Amino acid sequence: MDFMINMLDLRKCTLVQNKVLENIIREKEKRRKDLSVLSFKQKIHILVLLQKMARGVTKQGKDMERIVWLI
Amino acid sequence: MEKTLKLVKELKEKKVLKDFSIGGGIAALYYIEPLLTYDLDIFFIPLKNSIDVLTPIYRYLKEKGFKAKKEHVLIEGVPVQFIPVYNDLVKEAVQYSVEVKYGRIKTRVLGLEYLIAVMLQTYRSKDRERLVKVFEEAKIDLKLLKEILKKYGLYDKYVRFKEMYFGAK
Repeated sequence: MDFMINMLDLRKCTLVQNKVLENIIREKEKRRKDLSVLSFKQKIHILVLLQKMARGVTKQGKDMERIVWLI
Repeated sequence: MEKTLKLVKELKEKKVLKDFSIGGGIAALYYIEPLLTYDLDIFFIPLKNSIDVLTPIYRYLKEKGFKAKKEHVLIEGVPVQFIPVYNDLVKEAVQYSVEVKYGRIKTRVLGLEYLIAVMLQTYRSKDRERLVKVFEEAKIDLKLLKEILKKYGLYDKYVRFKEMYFGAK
């Protein structure tokens, strides 16, 4: 009987976790869609922030002369 | 960026090239969430068909003080890559580009359905990544897309792509 209860608890816990995951995935999708409708200029502004963040990150064996845009 | 786009536009106005359109990562970025890229790709239709279609562009830009370095020209702080239209699909894509505004500047970006077709044709890993995002985030005219893909023999590839990444046709 104890085993059964534990199994039920485990199932409940998994379902709750799945709901949390579902929420996270849904919110991430929403954020991506919100970002996709920004103006061209706002997107380029974010792109430059991404370029600054990625500065210094290099790939092995690649010539990494990456220019951060001046906008 | 406004100055860069203004100068690119000037190339058409001064008849250095016939027509142009933004392609590659920046065109994708126009339709989806911002993604990391380092080049501004400009697809262009040259005025004349010759072996060296880039020379008039590089010459004009050099006169303005911008020099080519490797495959780019650094224009007002933005590395620009000029790519001549290399097949009928890309040429048509440039011809049917959409006019968009960046601040006060009007410029041209590949239409979404043509951009998808070009990415399906080139099909590098970064194209596939961008395609997934495009199908998730952008509003696509599926009728137009299907027409373009069928015209250029890319429809089967599209179906395979959709099955692989979305599990559906």
